[in-house]
Amino acid sequence: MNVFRNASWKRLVVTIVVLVAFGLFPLVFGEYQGELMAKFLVFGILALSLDLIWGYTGVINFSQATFFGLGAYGAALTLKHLTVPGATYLAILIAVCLPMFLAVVMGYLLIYGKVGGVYFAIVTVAVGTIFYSLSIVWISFTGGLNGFYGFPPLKLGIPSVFELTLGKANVLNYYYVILVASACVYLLARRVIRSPFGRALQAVRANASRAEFVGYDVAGMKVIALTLSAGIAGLSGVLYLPVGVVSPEILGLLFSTNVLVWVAVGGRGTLIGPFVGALVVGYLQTFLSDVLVSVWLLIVGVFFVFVVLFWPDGIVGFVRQKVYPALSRRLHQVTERKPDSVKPQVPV
Amino acid sequence: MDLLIVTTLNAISISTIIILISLGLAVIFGLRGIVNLAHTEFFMLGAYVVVVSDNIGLPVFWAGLALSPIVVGAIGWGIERSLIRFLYERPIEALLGTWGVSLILREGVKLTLGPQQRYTMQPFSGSVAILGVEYPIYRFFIIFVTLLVISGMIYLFLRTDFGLRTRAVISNREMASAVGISTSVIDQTIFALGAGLAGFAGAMMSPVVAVNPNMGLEYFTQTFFAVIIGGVNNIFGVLAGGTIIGSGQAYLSAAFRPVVAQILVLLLAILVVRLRPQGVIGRPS
Repeated sequence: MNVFRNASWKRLVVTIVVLVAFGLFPLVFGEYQGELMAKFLVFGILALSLDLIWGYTGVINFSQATFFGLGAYGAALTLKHLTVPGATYLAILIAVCLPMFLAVVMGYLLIYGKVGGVYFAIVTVAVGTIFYSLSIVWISFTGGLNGFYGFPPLKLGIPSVFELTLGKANVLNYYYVILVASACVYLLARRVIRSPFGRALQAVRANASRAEFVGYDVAGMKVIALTLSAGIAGLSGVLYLPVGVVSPEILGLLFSTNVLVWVAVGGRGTLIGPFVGALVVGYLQTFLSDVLVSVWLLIVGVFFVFVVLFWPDGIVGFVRQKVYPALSRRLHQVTERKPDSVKPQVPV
Repeated sequence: MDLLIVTTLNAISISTIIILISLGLAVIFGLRGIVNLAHTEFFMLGAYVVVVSDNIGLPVFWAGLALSPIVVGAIGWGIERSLIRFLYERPIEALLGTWGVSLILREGVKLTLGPQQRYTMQPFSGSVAILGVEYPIYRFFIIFVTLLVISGMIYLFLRTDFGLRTRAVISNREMASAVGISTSVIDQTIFALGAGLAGFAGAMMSPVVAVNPNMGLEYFTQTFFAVIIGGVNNIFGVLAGGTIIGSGQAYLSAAFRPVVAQILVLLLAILVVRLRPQGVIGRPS
C-alpha cells in the first residue's frame, strides 16, 4: 500500500497499464474495433488542439474543424499531385503549416485587432463557413460535395529502403502510428503547458488585464497559442486520411461543434480530458447510431446545456474533484484503521 | 437598369428582415453581454407556426402570422427562465449553452414535424410594376410591414417609459436597479420580445422561402454579423449593420453565384469587424 502513497509511482503504473491496454487493443478486439479506436484517437488529438486555446487561454473557436480539414485536404492534395518518394513528409509539412498560416492571419486580423470573446467566436463561425463553401464550389480542386478521392496512401519510413504504408486496409500499421502520435502530442502539450509560457497562458485565462499589467504581451501569446493549436489540428488532419473520408463535412460548423462537445464533456483545461471526451462521446455516438440515428444531434445539444449548467469541468474534472478524493479517503481509512477500532460505516 | 431596380428592392427586403431578426439579439447583447446563438431558431419556429396553423385548419396565413410572435415569444421566455438567466455572468459559456439550445430546437422540430421542406400559400399573388419592373406584391407587403414594425420598435425604445427603463438598465444596471427598476423583468421582457420579433420575421418570410428545420442557419451568420458590425449600444447600429449585410448580400448575389456572394459578404463583414470593432455607429471605447 505504501507504493500507492507515492504519487509518481502511481502515475508510472497507471501510464504503463494504459499504454499496454491501448497497445493490445486491436490485437484483442480485432481490426474493426482497432479502426474505430484509431479514429477516436485522431479526434482526441483534434480535441486536445482545441483545448490548448479554449481550456488554457479562454479563446473559444467555433472553427477548429477548419484547421483539421485544411490539414486533411492539404495532405491529400499534396499526395495526389506530388508522386515522388517521400511525398508523405511534404504532405505532413503542408498539413501542419497551412492551418498555422491561417491561424496567424486570424490572429493578426482579430486578436491584434482586439476582436475578442464572443466577437471572436462569431467571426470563427464565418471563417468555418467560408472554407466549407469554398470546398463545395471549387469542385475541380477539392472534388466538391462528394469528397476528395484517388490519392496514394501515406508512407512512412525511408523511401526504397523500408516503408510503412498507411492505407485504409493497413489497420495495424496506422493504429500504432496514431497511438504513438497521440502520445507524442500529449507529451508536447504537457511540455508546453508546464513551461513558463504555458503558465503565463493560464494567467491570461484567469485574468487577461492583470496579465497585461504584469507585462505579458497577451495578444501575442494568444496568437502563438492559436497557431500551435492550428498546427496540432492540422497534424490530426493528416492522421485522419487512413481512417476517414476527406469531404467538406470535416471543415464545417457541425464538425466543429463535435470538437467542442468532446472537449466540454471530457473536461476543459485538462490534457487528458479531450481524449476521454472524444472516446466517450465517440463510442456513445457509434452505439446510439445503431439504435437511434436521428436523435444524435439532439443528444449533442443536451450535452452542451448539461455541461454548461451542471458539469463545467467535464468528466475529468468530476473524477478529480469528487471521485478521486472520495476514493483516496477510503483507501487511507483502510490502511490507517487499527484492527480493533472498527468505525461504523457512514453511508455515502 | 431593370436588374438594378430589382436588386435594390431585394436589398431593402433582405435588410429589413435581417434587422427585424437582429433587433432582439442586439438589445439582449447590450443588456447582458451575451450572444444567444439560438436566436435564428426563433425565426425558424415562427415560420413553423404558420405551417402548423395551416395544417390544423386555422384561417390560413393570417392566423399564423398573428400567432407567431406570441407563440415564439412564449418559447423564448421559457428558454430565458430555464437556461439563459443562469448564464448572464458567463458570456463564453452562454455561447455553448445557447448553441445546445439551437441544436435541440432544430432537431426537435425535425423529429416532430419532419425534415422535409414545407411551403405555405402566399396570401396575395400577382405583382405590380414599379419603374417599369414587375415585382411581387407580397414582397412589397413584407417590406412595408417590417418597416412598420421596426419603426414601432424604435418608438418603443426611444419614446416610451419601457424604452427609457431598458436604456437605463443598459447604461448602468446597478444604478437602474437602485432607483427601483426591476432589471430581471426588463431582461425577460426584452428576451421574449426579441424572440417574438424573430418569430414574426420567420412567419412573414414563410411564403417566399422553403420552410425547413435548418432555415435558421441560413440567416445565422448574417444576423450575428449585423449585430456586431452595427455595435450593440445603439439601436441605430442594428439598422446600419442589417443594411450593410443585407445590401451586400443582394448586390453581390446579382453579380456572382450565391455561394460566392455569401463568401464575399462574410469576408467583407470580417473586414468591417476588424476595422471598427466597436461597430460602425458606436464610438471608440
